[in-house]
Order: sequence, then structure tokens, then C-alpha cells
Amino acid sequence: MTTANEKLARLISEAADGKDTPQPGHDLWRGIEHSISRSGRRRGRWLNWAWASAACAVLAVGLVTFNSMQSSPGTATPQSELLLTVLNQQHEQQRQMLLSHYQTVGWDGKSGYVQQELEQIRASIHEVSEQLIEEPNNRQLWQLLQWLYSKELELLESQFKVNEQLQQV
Amino acid sequence: MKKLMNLLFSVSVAAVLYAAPTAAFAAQESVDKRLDVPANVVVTIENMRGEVEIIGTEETYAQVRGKLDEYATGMTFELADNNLTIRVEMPARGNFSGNHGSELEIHLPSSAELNISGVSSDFVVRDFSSDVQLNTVSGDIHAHSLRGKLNLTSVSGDIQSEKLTGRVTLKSVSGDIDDRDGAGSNASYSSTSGDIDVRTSVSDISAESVSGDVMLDLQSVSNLRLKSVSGDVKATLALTRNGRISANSVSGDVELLFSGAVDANLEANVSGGGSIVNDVNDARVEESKWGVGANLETRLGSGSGTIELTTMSGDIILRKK
Amino acid sequence: MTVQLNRESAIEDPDRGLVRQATQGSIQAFQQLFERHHRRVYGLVWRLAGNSEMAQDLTQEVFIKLWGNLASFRGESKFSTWLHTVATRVALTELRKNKRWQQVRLTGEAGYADTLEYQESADLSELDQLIRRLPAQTRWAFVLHCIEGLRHEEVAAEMGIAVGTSKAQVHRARMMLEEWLSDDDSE
Repeated sequence: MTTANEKLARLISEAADGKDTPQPGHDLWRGIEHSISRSGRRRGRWLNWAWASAACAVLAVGLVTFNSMQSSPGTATPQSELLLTVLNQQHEQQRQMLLSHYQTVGWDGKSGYVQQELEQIRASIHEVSEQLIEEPNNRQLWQLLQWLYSKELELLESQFKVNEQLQQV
Repeated sequence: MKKLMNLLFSVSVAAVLYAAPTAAFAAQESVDKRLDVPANVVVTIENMRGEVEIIGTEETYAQVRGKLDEYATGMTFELADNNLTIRVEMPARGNFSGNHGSELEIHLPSSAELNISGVSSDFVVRDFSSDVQLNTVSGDIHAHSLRGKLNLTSVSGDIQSEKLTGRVTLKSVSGDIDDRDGAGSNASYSSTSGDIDVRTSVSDISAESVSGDVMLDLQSVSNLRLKSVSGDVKATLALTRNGRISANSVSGDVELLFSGAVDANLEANVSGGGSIVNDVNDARVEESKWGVGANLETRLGSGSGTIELTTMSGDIILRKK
Repeated sequence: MTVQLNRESAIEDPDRGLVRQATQGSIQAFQQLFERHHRRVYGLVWRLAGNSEMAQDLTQEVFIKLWGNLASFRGESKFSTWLHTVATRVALTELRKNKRWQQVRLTGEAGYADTLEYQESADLSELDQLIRRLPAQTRWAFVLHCIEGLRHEEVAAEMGIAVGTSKAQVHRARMMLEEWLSDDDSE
């Protein structure tokens, strides 16, 4: 019988020798080739889509809390993260207010219209927020974030209005 | 080709209409009305469905001719002071699934100010020299030779315009925007998923899109603001001496093609997976080695203007024509 | 993070010809390099990320970045060694960003990812199944030091932590893994 210690040493040595290394489940080359063969055009978009699902969840849950902020270790620029938190929070509140307002006047919030764009905007808010943690001094990125907020609200609003008007036709 | 198809289609529709017994269709009331109006008349036009053509004239009267919507209960056509209302009246409730919306031609003094709204109604507006506010949901908008403060919005319809002058704001959600030969002080374009295609001599311009592509063919630009999420943005332009350009995108590419010399301090930043291509001068793009992103700061000519470009993961491309 | 890992001297490098062609723009040559090396890169980034979705994204990101930066490979080490360093850095940069962001947001939406991970775990080696359960920083230090063979100084430089922290993290990882291994054996 081997002790856990010896077993671990054996497993590590097997892994270091390349035994049973995790393998990709599908072809990864196509995505790479697509990205590089267009001399970089549209590069990085696939990554956005990878983020998209996560971002939707983030915004659905929405609120970032001070608690989780403070427990986050090693943050180089807590002030900018704080600002980001507050901004994201404010935006989420506005968004919820808008949605609940429309729900009180009888809209269930379900409409396929501009759904894709809304998802894209949310993914982008997530992505830009994340980048702002890395680059807190990038003024243009802050502006981009503000614009994305307003764009999301504008689209949500238009979604409702269109729904209302088109029901007649 | 499309025009020809349309023509053939309308000819065949007309033939069918003519041949068919009228009783087979819900009756479309014909109208032909006329009112004298002051030159500073403010006109409100409402039509839910169909097609309305609104034409500015040298006359001093307002005239409405054509057919009302098959479900219409009548038309309001009245002047109070300098406010003229033209409204196709529809039942408050109903399922308007028939194919026969209004077909109207409206003539107004070219100095009239217009407030136009519709739902699935298409609008053609031409030859006016005062402000125009136009909102439709799924209808198309064609605007020609308008001058003033122009606000044209369609949700899913396309906007096609020519020779707009003044302060122009064109907005669509899923429809495309195509604006040709504009002039005047400033223009602003906004779409969500539709493409924006503009050729104008306006020097103060802003354009924003979520997923639609933006293509701008500009002349001498004093102020250009571009924003996009995933749509690509491409602008051909010359920059005035103290001109400003700012462009931000998330994953869309930003491409500027300069015609002629450029005098500006340029700062370009890519945060994520995109890259910067600089064919304008010899300045090197700094790529952070394995961290993500690239950065370019350079002075073009005398450096009198300002160019600030940021993308998250799109490419930034700078070229000379 | 400018430390260049450079353990081999100028030895004959089987990739040199392909690297040169790829640097001159040959996508075909680059694809051959990908075919030769992507499994090893994937294995590395998988172990750092602890899940296959992220590992696939990271592997692609590594090769896309590589394409744009081939010219900075100066042949001072073997290409495969250099690629490994590149992969480590790209992966850690992305994972750190991702991790910090996750800390700034509320948790509670892990359900779907968990399901996916559960489904794929059948194909994993015993060690890899356990590695996923390690906390991120602990896992990174363990993978880089114990499996990839980096010295603690190198691990510290790559991760941006103190050498002592690297040692402590590796120790912690071993303790946790041993405990899990003996748990499994006693079942």
C-alpha cells in the first residue's frame, strides 16, 4: 500500500512526463486561422463571445457589493474599483427601475427584438469594466462604459415602445 | 433593379385592383382636401399604416389627396392659428391586418414646420426649408432636400436621405441609414444593428452603432465622434487644423483613411486582442510584450489637432489615401 | 514580467525552420507549429485555468498572440521552451483579470459551469481532477513548480508574488492534494 505522499509524487512525476495531459475536445485551429488570416481583422471577437454568457449572468445578478470589494486582496487601485462598483450599481438600479416601470404597465419584458444587441452590450459592459480594473486611468474607456450604460437603457426603452405600438398593427 | 421590380409589382397590383370587383375589398375612402395656411404653419401629420408623400411647394395652401386606410374612420384636416393637423383617424382598438394602408400625397408650403409620426407607415418628405421631426416604427423614410433641424427616426425601417442641410439627426434600430450629399453645421447618426453609410460635407459629425457597421465618406472634418460596440467603423476624411477625432469601440475595428496632410497629436490604444496598424507615419506601435494590448502615440504634422482612438479588442487602422 | 526563461543553450532546434517561415508570414508553417505544440500548451493552460472552456480560449489566445509576436523570438532558447513561457504569461494575465473580476461581482451563477465540468471530469487523470479543486493561486504555483519544473524564483516572477509565497503555496497544494488522495483511498 502506498501512502498518499508517495502516490502524489508518482502522479506528479507522470504529469511532468506528459502522461494523461488534458486534451482539447475540438479543433482549435480554425478559430486561430480565422483570426490571423485576416491580418488581425476582428481578432478577439471570439473572446467576447466567450465572455458573453458569463457577462449576462453578471448583469442579471448585477449588484457588486462593498463587502466583496473589500475582501478582494491585492487590488492595486481600490478607488477606481470602488468607482466602478458604484457606477455598475447605479446602472443596474436604473435598469431595474426601467424594467419594473414597464412591468407595472403590463409589459412582460419578453421581446426578441434587439435581444442580441442587448446581450452584446451587456457583454461589453462586463468586458470594459474588467479592463478598467487593469487600466483605471484610461479616460476613453470610462467614457465608453458610460455610453454603453446609456445605450442599454435606450434600447430597453425602445424595446418597450415598439412593443406597444406594434401590437396595434 | 429593385425599382423595376417595384414598378412591375405596382403595375400588377393596379391591374388586379382594376379588374377585381370593388366589393371584394374593404372600401378605401378617397380624399382630396385643401386649406389656405400661413407661411409659418406648423403641421402635425399622423398616419398609422401605408405610404405618405409630403412635398414642399411654393403655394400658400395645404392639400391632401389620395386614399385612406381601409380601417380608417375618417381624416382630421384642420387649422387652428398656425397649427395644421392632418390625421388619419383609426378605431381605438382593432386588428389591422388588411393590406390597404393609406396612400396619401400631401402638399404644403415649403416653409412649413413638420411633426410626422406613423407606425408601419412609410414616409417620403421632400423640399422643405424648416424643421422636420419624423418618427415611424417599421416604415421606411425617404428624405430629400430638407433644410433645418431634422430629426428622422425609424425603428426597423431604413432611412435614405439626400441633400439634407442644417442640424441632422438620423436614428434607426435595425434599419440601415444611407445619407448622401449632406451639408450644413452638424450631423449625427445612430443605429443599433443597422449599417450606417454616409457621404457628406458636414464637418461636425457623430456616429454610433452597436453591431452595425459605420462607413463615412467625409470631407474636411472639425469634429468627429465615433462609438461602436461590435460594428466596424471606417471613415475617409481630411482633418481641419484644430480638428478633433475621437473613436471608441469594444470589439469593432476603427479605420481612418486620411486624404491629404494631417496635423494632430494622435493617441491610439488597444486594450485586448486587437492590434494597431499605422501606415501614416514611421511611429512604432508599442505592443505590451505579453500583457495584452498595444499603444501608439505620435505627432502628425504640426500636431495642432487631436485624435484619440480606443478599442478593447478591435483593430485600429490608420492609412493615407 | 520581463524575466526570460532560458534553460537550454543554443541547441539544435527542430522548430527553427518552421518558425522562420512563419515569421515571414507562412500560415501553413504556423499551422505545423500549432500541430506540434498545441496539445502541450493546452495541457498547461488547462491546468492553470482548471476548466476546459477557458483552456480552449486561452490556447487560441496564446497562438494568436504568438503569431503577432514571432519576430521577437530570437532563438536564444528552444522555440518550445519560449512558447511555454509565452503560454504561461498569456494564461496568467488573462486568468488574473478574470479572477479579479469574479471577486468584484457577486457569486452564485456557477451552476452551469459546474455541470459542464462535472461532465468532462470522467476523462481526466486522478491528479487533474484534484488540481481543479485547488484555489487558483495555489494551483498556479503547484502547476508551474511541480509539473512544469520552474524554480520558485521563476514561479514568483511569473506570478508577481514573493518567493516565500510561492513556496508556501506549493506546500499548501501538496498538503491539500495528499489529504484528498488519502480520503479517496479510504473510501
